[in-house]
Amino acid sequence: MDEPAQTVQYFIAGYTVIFIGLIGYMVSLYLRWKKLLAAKKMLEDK
Amino acid sequence: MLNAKDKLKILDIITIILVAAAIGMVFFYAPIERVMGYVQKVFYFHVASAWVGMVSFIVAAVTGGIYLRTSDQKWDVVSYASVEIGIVFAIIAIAMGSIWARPIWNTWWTWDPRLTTTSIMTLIYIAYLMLRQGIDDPDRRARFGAVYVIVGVLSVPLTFLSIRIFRTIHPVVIGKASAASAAFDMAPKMLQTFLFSLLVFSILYIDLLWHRVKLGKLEEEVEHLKISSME
Repeated sequence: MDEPAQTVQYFIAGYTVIFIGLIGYMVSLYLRWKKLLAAKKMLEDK
Repeated sequence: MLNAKDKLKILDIITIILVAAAIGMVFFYAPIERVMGYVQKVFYFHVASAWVGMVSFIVAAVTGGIYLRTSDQKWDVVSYASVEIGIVFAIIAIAMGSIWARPIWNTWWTWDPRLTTTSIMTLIYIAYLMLRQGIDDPDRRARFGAVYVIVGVLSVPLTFLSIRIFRTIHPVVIGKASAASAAFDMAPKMLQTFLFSLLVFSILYIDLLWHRVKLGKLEEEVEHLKISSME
């Protein structure tokens, strides 16, 4: 019987994409949250 | 009684455990497909991402409709948050699909009906984010946004059904394939991993939506403070 195609590098690339995408989005949520908190504090202090 | 912050923390922990379990199932439990090899494992999170993308846009339309009925800004916040998350997952699904296609179809991209409709759907929602930036008045922006997502959601069933309506090389995973498209038969372990991935991504969506809505409420507060400080 034939061996499966050698596609492990595409498998790694696929999961790299999803991890980078999701972690990147979560980091963006965190950074926006921090920025808004700082802006809110500044506006309240005015 | 737990407050909202504690509930969100518990959901965060549950989500992390479930995502780790889903990764474990994909890497170690699901068998290697006989023809495609390892790249077939991309399928589990590719379909789950596409699923979350479509569900997000449907949720955005439903909450947009509720906003039009109630004029309560919180529903606009949920609608906007859901679109943003939907775009992230739709782009991930397209990128993962492209990586899967390269060794199997021998191309990174082809103008297949499913790929084309998914791209159009994603662009419709990216345009929504851009157009919202151009409206300053919060009520007008919310009304415009609600109408847009209700009309835009028509792209979701079109994308879902494209592989059943048109002749395509994209396999049908959910439901029966038509004469014009190929079915994708799964071994029991593959099916279990697939269904678990769908469940985990649905919970991940709820968790991210909760965080994004929290952020949206803070955005609203800052916007009100800015307006009142200018008066």
